[in-house]
Amino acid sequence: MSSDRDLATALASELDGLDSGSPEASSLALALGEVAGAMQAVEVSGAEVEQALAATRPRLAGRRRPAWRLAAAAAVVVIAAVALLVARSTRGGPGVDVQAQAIAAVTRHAAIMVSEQISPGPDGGFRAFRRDGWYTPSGDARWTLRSGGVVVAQGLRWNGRLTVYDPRRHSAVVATSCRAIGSGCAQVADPVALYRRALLTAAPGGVAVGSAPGGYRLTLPVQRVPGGRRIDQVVRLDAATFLPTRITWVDDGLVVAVVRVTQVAAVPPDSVSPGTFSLSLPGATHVVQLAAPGQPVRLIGTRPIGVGGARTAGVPVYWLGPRFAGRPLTGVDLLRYTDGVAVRARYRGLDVWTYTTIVPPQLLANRLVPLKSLPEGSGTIQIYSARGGRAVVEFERRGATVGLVAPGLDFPAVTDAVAHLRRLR
Amino acid sequence: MPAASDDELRFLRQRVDPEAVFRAHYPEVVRYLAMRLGSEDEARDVAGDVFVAALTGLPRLRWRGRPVLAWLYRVAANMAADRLSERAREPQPVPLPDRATEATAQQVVDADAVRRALGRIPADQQLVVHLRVVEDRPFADVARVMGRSVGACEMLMLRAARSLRGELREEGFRVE
Repeated sequence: MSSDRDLATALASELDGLDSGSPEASSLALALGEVAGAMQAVEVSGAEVEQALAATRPRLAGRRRPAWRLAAAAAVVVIAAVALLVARSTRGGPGVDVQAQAIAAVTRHAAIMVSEQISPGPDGGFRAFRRDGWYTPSGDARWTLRSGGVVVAQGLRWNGRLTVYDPRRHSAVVATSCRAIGSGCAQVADPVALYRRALLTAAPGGVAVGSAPGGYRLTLPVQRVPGGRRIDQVVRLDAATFLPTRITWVDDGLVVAVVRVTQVAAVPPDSVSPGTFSLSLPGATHVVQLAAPGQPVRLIGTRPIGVGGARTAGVPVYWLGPRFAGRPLTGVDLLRYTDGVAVRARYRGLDVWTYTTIVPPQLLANRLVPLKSLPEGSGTIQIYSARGGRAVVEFERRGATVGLVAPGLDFPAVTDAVAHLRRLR
Repeated sequence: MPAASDDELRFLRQRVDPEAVFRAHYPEVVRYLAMRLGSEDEARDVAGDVFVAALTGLPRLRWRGRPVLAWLYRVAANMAADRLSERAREPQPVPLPDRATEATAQQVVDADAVRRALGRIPADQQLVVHLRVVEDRPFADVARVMGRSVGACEMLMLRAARSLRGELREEGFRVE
């Protein structure tokens, strides 16, 4: 390294998981890794956050809440370079910024739980159905569709991967885009989640506010539903909670769908039970993995990349270190597919897969019967029996899905391996 | 007049929603205070005070190009410094070791040694390590919170890593 500036840049690369080629930067990154391990072990659960907030509230309530003065609202207007007309259009009455309160209502917590009854407009177009789901600001989602009281579809979007299960046909499609799904993107588009996105991306003053029975009415700018249709959303908000109670989709003045929100809540993380954002498929499910538009995922090539190459693989790779339970690391491979990549760390008889948008077909084909789901942190570990008496274990880590192919169905050994997994830096 | 940036809009939204700020940042403030004070229990004690002080002042904040999180960390750093000053003036009891298995005890020793090493490096180095390494924020975010350039934060990280490596060696860690 010719200078401290170069070394600082190299260290930054090492911290990003890249191989800088500098032994000094690598040594410094290792020292920092010790810190990460020690400090990340300080766990603060969602329940503790809520208890601390409850204890803090009375102390916060003692402060005098300043009036939402016109001067402050005007500052927002000036910053957004919109006229006084805009300030009027975002207010629901003296002292109430409806748009801000609506934003706060749907962004206050980690997830939104919603139940909706979705009906067509006067011209029909589809059969009415009910949708129950969970949605996060990052786009993760889990939903169930019912028509006539019968479950017609279940879906999960997680880590950029979409899974839609049809219980009537015992089949599931896994894809990176809703365009690969038979029903298209209409099934994936949730009205309340779209409303939240529309609200957050609307320019200040871009939302018209009026009054409605029991609350307020927002008309949001034209939005695009996945699949290309443009709609206006006319949303009725509850006066007390500022949460949506009714969403009407209007296409060029024509009502095409009416969504009655029968239940909606923005919930804190500890109210989301482990496994909410997961979808267990029954053992007999025929699973097809498709790359948009409708082509099967194919393996393009495999090449060994080693530990150094794994740091620049483009996915946050997880591994068990150079050795685990007497099994040495024997190789690290990069597998390229038509719609993504995966990294496989091979130990003698045990493989650790890391993947994001696609499930490696080898893993998918090997999974036989789901055996057990174990809670783990904020998610679950799914354990399947696999061919040859092996076990396939699947769970989520930050930014990736990890699959472990273990030599047997020894649950303590499997959970021990999961506990020892760490990100390769 | 230019339109408000995404950062500014986020700042304005957070300013009217203190509970959202609390929920979003309480865990990382606890971890930061645990690093500064060397004690998780004390960190949890102080974290509540940090949020009361910070969120009480929230409505009076004006947009100056830095996120609400920067304000939070400023309050937390000041309270941590005050607590450390008080501690320096008072004799501290030696905590009794917990009953633990041999493996757990070793883990506790290692984590305590790391925290002791962390406690001996300067406060600004502690903060950059906390934001980038513990909270895994990109340097661009670290720079916004600390009010410095990305390059300055990278140089600070280099100094922090060297300091830390030396301190860890003093604690008996082999870092190669």
